[in-house]
Amino acid sequence: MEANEIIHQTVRLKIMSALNTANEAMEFTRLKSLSGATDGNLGSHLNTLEGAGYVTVEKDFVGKKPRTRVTITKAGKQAFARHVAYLRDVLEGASTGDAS
Amino acid sequence: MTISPDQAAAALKDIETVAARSNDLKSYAIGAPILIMWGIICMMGYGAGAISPAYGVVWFPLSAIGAAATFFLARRAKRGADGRIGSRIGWTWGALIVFYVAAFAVLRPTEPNQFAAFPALLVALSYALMGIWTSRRYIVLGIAVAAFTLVGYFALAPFFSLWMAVVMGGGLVLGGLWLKQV
Repeated sequence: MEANEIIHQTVRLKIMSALNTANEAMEFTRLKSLSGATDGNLGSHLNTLEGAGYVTVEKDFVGKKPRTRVTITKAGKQAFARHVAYLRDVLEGASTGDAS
Repeated sequence: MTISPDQAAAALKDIETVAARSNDLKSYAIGAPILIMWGIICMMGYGAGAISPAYGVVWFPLSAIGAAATFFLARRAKRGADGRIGSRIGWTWGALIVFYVAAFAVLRPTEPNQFAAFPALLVALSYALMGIWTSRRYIVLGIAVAAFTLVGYFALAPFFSLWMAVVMGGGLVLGGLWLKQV
């Protein structure tokens, strides 16, 4: 098992954790609050995750207000689950003295 | 890419923190409209009681409308991934209403202020319990509702209904808006 370099970056890890927990479309503003990122920073990380096929980004209007909603994909959920399993393996390896 | 055990532990902690906060926000998004709706119902019900205790009967249709609307709002959340939390909120309110009717049938209060204070204390208890088991902001709401109710009941008895219409009703609306602000 290997670390997922795309997901492991701090902000992207928080984005994926939030979306994985929500398991539904999440608005940009809420994702910004959860990840602690700025607008530009969050947009950039979402582009990376979208490029990897881990999230989908939808833009529409509610009345006259623009709205951006982000959803985790099936591939994103699987990649996130694998990365979390890898992190747990690293910790368990350390606790049993198998860390390499 | 190699990740050290310390980095892995820090990453897992970040994941847990964000997941817990994400659940909190989800719960607040479901609870906020329900809270605002009950705030408006309290304003109408207690407001009617403040005009005349005889108008207290408006609580029967208001409670029925509130219960139905609560189930509707909870079911609407159930259509999304919020189903577990949404249905819990719906069933919690349903259980409270059944308990409220049963407790009145057994205890048979005689004072109008007792009729008015009891459901408010019940709501306070339910929010405190929700806060203890799920999201912390509900604890603050529970304490505020209980405090306003007890202050009004013991210190402002002649104006209790008016107090509850303004402070309790307004407080629940503000509480709902507060939950939406996160």
